[in-house]
Amino acid sequence: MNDTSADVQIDSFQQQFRRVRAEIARVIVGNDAVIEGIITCLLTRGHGLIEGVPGTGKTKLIQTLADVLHLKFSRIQFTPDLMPGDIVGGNVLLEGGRGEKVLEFQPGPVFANLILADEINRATPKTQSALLEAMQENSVTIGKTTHALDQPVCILATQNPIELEGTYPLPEAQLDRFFYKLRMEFPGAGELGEILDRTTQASVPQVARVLGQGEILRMREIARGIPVAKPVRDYAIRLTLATHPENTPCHEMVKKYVRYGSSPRGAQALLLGGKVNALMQNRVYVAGEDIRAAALPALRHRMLLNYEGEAEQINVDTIIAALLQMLPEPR
Amino acid sequence: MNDRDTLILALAASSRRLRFNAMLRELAWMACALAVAFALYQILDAAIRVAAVVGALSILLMVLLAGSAGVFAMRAWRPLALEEVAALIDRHAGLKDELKTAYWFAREHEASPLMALQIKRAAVSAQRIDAKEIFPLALPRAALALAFAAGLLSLFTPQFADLPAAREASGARAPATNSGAAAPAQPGGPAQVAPAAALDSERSPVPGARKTHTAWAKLDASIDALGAGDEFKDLAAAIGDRDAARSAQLLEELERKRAFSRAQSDARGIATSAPASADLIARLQALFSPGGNVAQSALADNTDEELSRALYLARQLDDERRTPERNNPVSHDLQEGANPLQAAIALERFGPREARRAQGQGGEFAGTTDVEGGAMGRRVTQSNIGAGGKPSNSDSNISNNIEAEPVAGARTMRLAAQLKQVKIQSSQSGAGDTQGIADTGFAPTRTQQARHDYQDARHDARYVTESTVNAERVPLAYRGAVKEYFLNLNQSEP
Repeated sequence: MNDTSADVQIDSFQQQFRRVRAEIARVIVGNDAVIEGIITCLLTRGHGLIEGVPGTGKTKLIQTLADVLHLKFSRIQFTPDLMPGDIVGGNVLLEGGRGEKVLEFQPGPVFANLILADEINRATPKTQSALLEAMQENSVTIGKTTHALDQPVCILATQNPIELEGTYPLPEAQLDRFFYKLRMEFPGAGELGEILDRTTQASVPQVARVLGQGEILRMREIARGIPVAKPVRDYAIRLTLATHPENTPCHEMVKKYVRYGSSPRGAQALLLGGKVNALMQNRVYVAGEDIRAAALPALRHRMLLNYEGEAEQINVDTIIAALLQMLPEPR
Repeated sequence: MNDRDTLILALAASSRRLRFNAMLRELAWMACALAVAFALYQILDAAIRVAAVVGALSILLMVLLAGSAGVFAMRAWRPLALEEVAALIDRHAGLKDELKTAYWFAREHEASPLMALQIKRAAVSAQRIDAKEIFPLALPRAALALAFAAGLLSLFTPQFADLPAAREASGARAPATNSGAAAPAQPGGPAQVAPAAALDSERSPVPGARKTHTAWAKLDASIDALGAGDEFKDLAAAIGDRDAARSAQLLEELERKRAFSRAQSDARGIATSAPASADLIARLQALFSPGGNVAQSALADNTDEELSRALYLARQLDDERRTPERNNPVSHDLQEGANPLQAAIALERFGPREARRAQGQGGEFAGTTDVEGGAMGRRVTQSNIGAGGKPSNSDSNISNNIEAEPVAGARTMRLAAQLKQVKIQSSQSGAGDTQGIADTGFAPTRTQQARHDYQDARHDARYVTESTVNAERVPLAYRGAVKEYFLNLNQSEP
């Protein structure tokens, strides 16, 4: 790949990214950061957890993304009585053509490219854990057989933060497997008016399919190929380590309110998210600014608050912002 | 020339500009340090009277100055790494780490196509950058402001330092005109002219300031060496305060005492005065009188000689004062003031105070000394009347006020003052003719008792509440609400 082809590939990446974003924006009003975050998850082999109060368009956003992409889409509505087998599938006893009985594997809804795990915190931790292997290894093991999932695989889960009755908070291991945790903000007055205009008329906005499976895989390769200078990589490492209360340098808030800091997956998310962010800014290198931009969605669900932090209702975003202010830019 | 070389050359050009700026900046700070050191020297010279201390501090200041100059020079000559230059350009030109990252990639042995693309882009950006525009020549404002302030300070410091001396001199000259008329009437009149002139000369502005300080210091030491006589305490204090008017007044009183005793001796036909003491009094009085009438030129050269002479005489006076009373006519005359003729002479010549002192044997002398500043800040009154109403020897103290030892630490309030006084009535009052015995004691006030009871009750209640809550396993989602409830509860308590 020479300079010219690299230039072309980067231009192509940016165009495709913008097209997807523009198509989604035809349906979803505002929340640009969340839309970009979801596309980033898709392009970095990651999964996204979207949190927001009911009615802010979490599910609609993911459905729209599925409409824009030429990908196999499946939806799992998580309920308290949902079982792991309902997600991953299982071996079913079937009758063959000559009357013999055979065990045949019936794949569950997880065998898709884009999976919507709606209201994921309504299912029990046992059921939620059925996604662990699929999320990390992109495969499902039933009995003695491991079934690989078709690439790309992207699980997008939704949950609302205010409902506590009949819900099960996600286990830390599950949370850590989400690349980004994105927050859907409640729309402002202008955005609310736009939502009403679009959804209360006879015609519903339609989106076009603009990206196929191959293009997405190519975009993934381009994003992963973006080089990172060592100082920037070190900055991501320092930022990750600073989330741990036992490490130095460590912010006073971290010491006081954090029980456990980010895992190495957090550092990976910082760098990969920074790469996509750099490409979107027409840069072929990752700057400190890109790491900072990725810090909030990449770290906010990986930092566990202690009792004091929970009792004081401390927002993790505040702690991350303080960390970003404390740590100097990469040199 | 490839992109990598282009990038490095552009960074090197900017590096030269940055080094030049750094040199300018360090030079400015060096100048600032010089100005501050000079101002410090001026302040030390004006504030500290001891030449040896000033000398030592000056040497220390010079060493510090040389050290800081060395540090500034090292900083100015420190070469800048190209990586630092790239980072600085990125920051100033808003390039978002473009040059820095490209330089980092350029140092790699194998560059990927994307790295090469980045180096190419950075080289183009670096060539477009005008280092003179991004890094204009600028001196640090803080250094300039500090240097300016230090310069101003060093200009005005000598004048500030002269202000107290000038005020002292002007204040001393006013009474000098009054004492001018009386001067010839005092014994040893001509002899006092030279020392007074010497003191006046030493109070003169800047050129004689050092000499004045030395003279005062010597005088301090000599007064200390005179001993702990009561009559010298005030004199020593006045000299310590550099209060020339007060010193002159005290010396005048000493002289009056001596003259009074001489007059008594004359009345009895006994000549007892020591010529040396009279000379001392004259000289010291002249030395401390606000002698504005003395030509300064007469004192410029022999100040130390005059002072040493005066101090020598002062020691003689002290020896004479320490002589046992029965052999010392001065002391004897002071206590034998019962003669009515002597009292009349004293009243006429020296005023009512000495006259009363002369009549002390008649019992009119009160002889009471108030001593303030006792333990716990209490005021103590002490009577010093001797046997038969005679004043004791310590009555020769002029002011009668004795400073107590300072009390260490803050004053405390006695417990009795915090408690209320209650009358305690005996319970035996009902028993026939036996009356109850009233007594006075101390007890906590109602407020104090109530506060104590409340604190006990609150402590118990809090312990019970918190132990209950701690024993409960509160769900995570409700912990905030529980804690908030109790915090609100605490805040709403009086």
